[in-house]
Amino acid sequence: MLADSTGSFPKLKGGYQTICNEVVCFISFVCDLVKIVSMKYLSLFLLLNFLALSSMQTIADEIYCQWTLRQDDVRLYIDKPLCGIEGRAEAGRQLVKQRENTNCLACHRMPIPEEDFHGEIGPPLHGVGNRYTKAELRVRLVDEKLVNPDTIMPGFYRQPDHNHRLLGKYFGKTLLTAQQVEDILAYLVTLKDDRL
Amino acid sequence: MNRLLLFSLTLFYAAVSMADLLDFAIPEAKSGYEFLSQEMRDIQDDDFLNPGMQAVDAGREHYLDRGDEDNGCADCHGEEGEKLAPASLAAYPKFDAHYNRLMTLQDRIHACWTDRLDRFPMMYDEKKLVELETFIRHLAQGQTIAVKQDEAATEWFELGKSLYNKRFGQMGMTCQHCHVIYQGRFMRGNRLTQGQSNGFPVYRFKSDKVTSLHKRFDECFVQLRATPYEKGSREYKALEYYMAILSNGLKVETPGVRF
Repeated sequence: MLADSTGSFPKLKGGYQTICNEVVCFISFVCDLVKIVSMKYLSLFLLLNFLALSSMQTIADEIYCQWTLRQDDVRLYIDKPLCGIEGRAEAGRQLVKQRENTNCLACHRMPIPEEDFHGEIGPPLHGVGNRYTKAELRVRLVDEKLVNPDTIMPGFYRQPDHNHRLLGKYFGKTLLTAQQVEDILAYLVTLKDDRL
Repeated sequence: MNRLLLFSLTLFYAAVSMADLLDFAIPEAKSGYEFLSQEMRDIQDDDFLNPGMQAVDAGREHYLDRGDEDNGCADCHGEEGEKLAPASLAAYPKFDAHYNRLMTLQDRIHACWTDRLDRFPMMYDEKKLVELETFIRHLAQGQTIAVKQDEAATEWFELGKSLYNKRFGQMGMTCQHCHVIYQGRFMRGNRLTQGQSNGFPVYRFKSDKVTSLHKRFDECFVQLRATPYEKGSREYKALEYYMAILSNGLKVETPGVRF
């Protein structure tokens, strides 16, 4: 997947070194040093170049699962679970509180009384399981921009290549893994009580 | 057939993700000061409590510094900078016909520093330059910002506007999402402000430092998980220009106190 995505590399001073993690960066750095020493031996030089490049293409720790957007008269939906994974509602409830990647509470009010300072940017999620089916919620979590092009909500499982000027250490990664998206969906469907 | 469908969906997807946002109506300018608590306002208003005044004092030292060739800013602009017109200082950034580019206040100071005083050049946003900027901008404290939307600087204005409305990074948000559409609401514990630049360079409690506008841009970009532009780059200056036009009518507050 990463091999096809050269078009959207951020233009940076450091060239390819900026798009790799620490280990790969170190490997390519060592390769660079050896390359300078072995400039005389062209075949060795080419071999090391090949090694450095091929090691960079194995960065992505998870394969991005393709999904298919479907549409009927009124609704957009993704009916198949991402990567065919089954979600667990309990794990989803823990994830929703997390501040690092998920951070749902930054914008939405949710029926989670033990956390303070719920955000007031998005709509409250009380009773969201009544309003939408799981398949409809999946579109909104994968990328809300498909439903509302002007939204502030990040695409939690959008194609990583489509980000503009992505910061190096997030290269090739989605905000959430497919498992996490399914966990959160499983939790959201259980929210049936409309009262705030 | 299936592949064709996937391809067309991808195209649609790319179009959606690349498109700029609509122009939302820009509300009346409101300084970050009005979003602060009373305690914070008191700290900013009192020159003896305001930690940003340290940078002003440091800037005054650079201003009065005579250097190797026994010349200094005070030769032309007066001992306390009284010959610098505050109304003119509040009109930066502006387009300069001589240099044929947009000049921020830092650019202007640096141009004087190297061309007139013949001193050693500084990096953009270097500590010394930010302190000088704080001192000089402080002279215009209380002055109404009036940045002219110059015809010669149309290119800069358009660039700044497009950057302000562009989605960046993994979060895929624009500046105007937080600072125009949802301003005044709470994002978790933080109240979103309009992100006005009238207090810059500001003292920030978070880092305990006086922070220039371009450094603040960097922080915003990293928060969006996007690659920042370089400090003093064309893009940042254009953004600074556009934001200065948005803040027209506010009072200069340098050095402001913010979180």
